Amino acid sequence: MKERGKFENEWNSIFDGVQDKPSDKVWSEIKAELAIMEANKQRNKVIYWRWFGAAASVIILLMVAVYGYNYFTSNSIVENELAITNLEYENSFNNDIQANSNPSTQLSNKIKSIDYNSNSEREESVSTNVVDDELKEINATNEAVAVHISSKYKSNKSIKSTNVKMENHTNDFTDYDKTLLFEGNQNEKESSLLSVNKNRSEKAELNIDVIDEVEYLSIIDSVEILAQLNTDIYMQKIPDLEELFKYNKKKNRNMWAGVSVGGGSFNPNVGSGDLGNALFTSENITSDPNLYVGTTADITANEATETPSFAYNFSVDFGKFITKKFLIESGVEYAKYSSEASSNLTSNTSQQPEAFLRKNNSDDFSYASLQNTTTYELLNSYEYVSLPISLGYTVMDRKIGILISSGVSVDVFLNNTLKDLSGEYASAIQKNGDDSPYRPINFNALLGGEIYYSWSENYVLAIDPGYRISLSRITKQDANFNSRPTSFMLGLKFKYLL
Amino acid sequence: MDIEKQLVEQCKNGDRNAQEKIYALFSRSMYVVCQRYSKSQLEAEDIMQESFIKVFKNIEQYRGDSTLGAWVKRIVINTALNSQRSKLYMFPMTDVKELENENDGDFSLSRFHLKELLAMIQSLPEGCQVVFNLFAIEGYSHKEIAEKLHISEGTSKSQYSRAKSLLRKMIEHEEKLSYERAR
Repeated sequence: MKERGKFENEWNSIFDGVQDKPSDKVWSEIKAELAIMEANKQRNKVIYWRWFGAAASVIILLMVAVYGYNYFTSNSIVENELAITNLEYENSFNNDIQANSNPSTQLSNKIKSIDYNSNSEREESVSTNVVDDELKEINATNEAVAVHISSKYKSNKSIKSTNVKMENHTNDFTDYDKTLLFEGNQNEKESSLLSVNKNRSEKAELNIDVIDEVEYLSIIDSVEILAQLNTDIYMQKIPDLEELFKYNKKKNRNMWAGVSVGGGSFNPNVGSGDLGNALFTSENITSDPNLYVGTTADITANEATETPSFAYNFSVDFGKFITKKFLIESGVEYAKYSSEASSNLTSNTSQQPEAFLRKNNSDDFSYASLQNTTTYELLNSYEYVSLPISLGYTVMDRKIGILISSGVSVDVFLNNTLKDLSGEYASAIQKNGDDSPYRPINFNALLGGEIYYSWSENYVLAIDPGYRISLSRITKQDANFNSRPTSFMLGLKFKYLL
Repeated sequence: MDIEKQLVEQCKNGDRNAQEKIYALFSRSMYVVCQRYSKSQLEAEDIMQESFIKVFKNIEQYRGDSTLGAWVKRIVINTALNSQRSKLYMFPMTDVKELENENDGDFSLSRFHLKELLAMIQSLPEGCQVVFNLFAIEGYSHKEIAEKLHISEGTSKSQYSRAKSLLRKMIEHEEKLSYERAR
């Protein structure tokens, strides 16, 4: 069979370049499909960021949990039990120590030996070098001694302070309500400072409380070494605990100022207004000017449902500690919240048709200005300036810390914008005013927290998740719809400690 | 060509006006292609709609190696073939006896209206219709058609022979009718 002949050439040439116009419906449907695709793309983006935010939160919380677990458990559980035993004071405190009226109580503490027991029950006795065999002077008001256990032990053993026991100490020691400070055993940066309060019981076991962090490390390091087991374990004198606390409070706990930026999701929670279920019924528009869903001879309006979309904010904040744990936070915040909706109406009051979703409560509204279109997707955005105030509580305050807070905010409505996602129709902007269906001022409840990292003495970086719910509807009483939004934001905050 | 490139770039940014311009540029010629591969106007419009959505969805992949028109046409034909594939699966193409070569002689289609020719093509059985379009009008070889439709080269040839025979009969019938009407 021959491949190609006059028959084929004739068919080929007769269809070469011929044209026929498809119906207009084809392009309308393509356009609608493209608008839906774009809206889905946007929705997917929001969903992606939402999942990203959730995943980031979970990862951060896990990291904090692991960090916290390691931090606390390393101070309370013994992997290889270390016991400092037989800490014997050869020369007791001043005999008059119970009266203790003398601020310069004389103490001669000669450490005879420190025994170190490992889990293998191998016991080794190490005689320490007594730093000073002579009487040592410790001010009676500064009853503190630190036993330093070097971070070098970290690689071999995790030392748990609650299991650090002081046994067989002399009566002199039991009589004296003394505090020993244990500097932690994690690493040099994360070590914790522990107090060891002598139990007056005959068992003479020591209770250990975590009293604060090791920002004092440098101070401790600067004090005199009383006794030394080896280069890794030694005993020091602490100058003045009160001074240490004052120093800390003054340094880290006063005021801060900062800026933050956040993003998240926003749900307008739109419902029907006080005019009953008008929003979602199929009534005749002309029969009631407050309704907009239904059919007239000229237009058919679809139900205007809204779905959650993205939100973002910027804020300038400040805070002040009112106690060691509690603080008050406030600031100024700009926020933009968005939801998505679809509409089949445009408003033709200006030269270019504008996106239209629902009627505002203006009396001079004209339904004649509405025109039916193919269904299009639009972004419904609200802009607010907020003045939040909240009370915070510091759950954990270390290099990495956790803060929880709750409060209220006053939101000032700026404007509402309806933006056609396809770009075919002009955006409709509703500003604050008498014809606006939105209240000019709203109140919100806030619930949030911070996971922060102090990377230097003055600078703190924080991730602050926050949930907000409007305490009342954001629409006016005479508006024909109701909205009581909620939002969840994940922010990044930069703080400067004043 | 520069305008086409510009439109493509705008389309990549989701510009609806540019998309509409591209549609206006190619919709008329592509609609004829869609009709050749379909059985009805409704089906042709469905193929058309699906094809242009694919065009705009995949516009990022257009590198400018061929003309935009050729690229769009390729998408339209592939969409049409996909739409026909389900039917071809239901009515698999089997070898039909290859007909004797007929002399094309003074064969001419000039006296027929486009709509009449489209109706003839649309009345062919599915397999014949697809192979006829690909071979006679698009200019593919039977080997290429066999690869495209996952059939044997022989099947392609025999289906084409059948299409050709059926079309000849239709043309003769139409000519006879018009001759009788003229008498």
